[in-house]
Amino acid sequence: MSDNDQSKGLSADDFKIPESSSVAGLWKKAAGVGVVGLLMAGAGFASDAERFGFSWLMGFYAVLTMFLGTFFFVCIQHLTFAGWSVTVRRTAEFFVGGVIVIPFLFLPNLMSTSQLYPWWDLHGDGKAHAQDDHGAGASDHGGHGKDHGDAHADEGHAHSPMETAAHHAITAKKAAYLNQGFFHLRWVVCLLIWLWIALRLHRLSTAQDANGDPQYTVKAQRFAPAAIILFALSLTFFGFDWLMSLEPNWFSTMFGVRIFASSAVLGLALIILLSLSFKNAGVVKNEINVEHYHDLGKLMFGFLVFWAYISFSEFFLIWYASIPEEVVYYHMRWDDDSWRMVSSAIVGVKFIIPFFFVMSRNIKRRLPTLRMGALWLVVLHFVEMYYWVMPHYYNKVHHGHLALDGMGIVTDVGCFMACVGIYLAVVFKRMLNHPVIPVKDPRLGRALGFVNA
Amino acid sequence: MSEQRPLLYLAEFDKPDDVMHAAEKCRDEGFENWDVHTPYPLHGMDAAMGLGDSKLGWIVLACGLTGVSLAVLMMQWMNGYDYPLIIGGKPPDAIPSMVPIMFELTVLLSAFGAVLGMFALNEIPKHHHPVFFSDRFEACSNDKFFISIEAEDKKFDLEKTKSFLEELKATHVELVRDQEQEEAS
Repeated sequence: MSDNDQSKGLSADDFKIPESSSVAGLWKKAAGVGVVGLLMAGAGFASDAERFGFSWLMGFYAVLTMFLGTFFFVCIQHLTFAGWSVTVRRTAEFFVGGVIVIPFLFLPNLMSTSQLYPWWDLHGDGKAHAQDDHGAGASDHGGHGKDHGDAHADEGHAHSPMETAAHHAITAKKAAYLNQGFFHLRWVVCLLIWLWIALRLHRLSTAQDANGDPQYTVKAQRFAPAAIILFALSLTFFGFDWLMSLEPNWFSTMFGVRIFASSAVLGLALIILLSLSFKNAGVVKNEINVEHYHDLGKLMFGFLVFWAYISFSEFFLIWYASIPEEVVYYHMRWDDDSWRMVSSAIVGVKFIIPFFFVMSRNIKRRLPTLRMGALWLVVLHFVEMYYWVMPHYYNKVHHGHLALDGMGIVTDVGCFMACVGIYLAVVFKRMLNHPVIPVKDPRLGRALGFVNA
Repeated sequence: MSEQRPLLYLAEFDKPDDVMHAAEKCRDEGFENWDVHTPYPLHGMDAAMGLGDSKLGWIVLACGLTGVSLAVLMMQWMNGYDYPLIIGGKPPDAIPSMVPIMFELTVLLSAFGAVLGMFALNEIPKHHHPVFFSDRFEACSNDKFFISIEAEDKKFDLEKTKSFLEELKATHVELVRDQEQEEAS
């Protein structure tokens, strides 16, 4: 087909979001959500600063995974010299451009480190600060549930000073890695990496809109291999630091892969949702069509299966070996009925239901049903973020029971709304500066004429 | 020499666009026993021929569900009921230890279903087809495109179908007759 002829007539102005469009005002709505969220989060901070720390980390990770998932999509398109995805790549780049607000959303986490991380005030010799009752005290629990009461009494997990000392000893052996100075260095490096790789790929693509110089494409392609390696390492180590060390005795080499897999599913779902709203608002017409959505849906389905596969593998080996410092992670999420429900929901509602729903070709090619599937996975992803972070809080204060009081809900929802609202406001505001498809990309013709086999 | 039974019309085309449009016409005309033969896959031909969804997905789904059910039943019966073994301190009927078998049997039976179902739907192996009576058909593996309309089709008519095909920019229309009977007699 004569695809290249189609792409010549496109100009950047035709694909900029007009002010009259319904998507042009999206950023105001997101900003409104963010401001309300900030107020709620502030109230939560005033009432319980410790809970706020965990809630904000959960909200921050909701945003971070949105960024990581969409960045992965952009990067992989350059790596593979993909032509089919050019028209939807810009949608992903909008999310990637939101990276500029991530350092600001990150900062509140620094207030809570001593409450979040049991190892924070632990010395290399395994002795805690005498005056500290949060950081070191928390590692006493170690998921073995000193306070779990009846639920654990029959498992012989009675808590002794010796056991506490043993936990400290395990954590102390990690002091070469888990110490404050190195920890600060690592998050600084990770944030700088993300800013660099994300803004560079974003700029190379948007700069091309002006003159269509193919050198931008070449540069992006040359940069992509380094970027994807930096992406994988930063994602993994940041996850080790900020999520895995919530329980410093626990470790899993699969954890970084799990973060990546969850992010990839989320990223693809977000690309589907935002590009569909471009289409519904009439900003794009046939430039993004059912063939592109079908492929995005296939990738989303594929990464959902991948996520389930590695999540189960991670659980399976830990369950089988049943080594105390490894199983604490799952005990925290299973022993209490409330968390058992959340864990089961992740298996049933985040995997089994969408697996059967999104499997069919016709579901993926019908845009309303694809949107439903994508939305479903986005919502359940945020449930999973809750499942990643909050058990560590409840293990400290509520004997592991998910007890939601009014102020707790306000804090959780507020932190989530604040992080996601502010990030999306920046994404939606910045996307007004650029056309919604890369109009001068040399491979645009291939995307316009793309047909699924 | 008496004329043998007519089997099909074979229309030859030079360009993929022409065969695509011709296929659309055949579809609209309501033919059922007909096919398009091309040297390489043509995007959009499914729609041009009016082919519906393949049934293969349903076959694979049925096989996959059979596989996963079989695995659950087998493991529950063998390890949970018939000969319980405690391994690693786990309950004999623990679900997690069955997941790998559920996964493997699902994949195995799905793969069988996909391959064998594809063979069945494509009627493979098929040792002969009347199009091979035509010498011109050899070009189908090179640079020509063909549409064949079989005599079994309800709308097939020696005169009308011929003129119908000739109107479709076909470069050549050939009536393929049965040859096997000729050899036998």
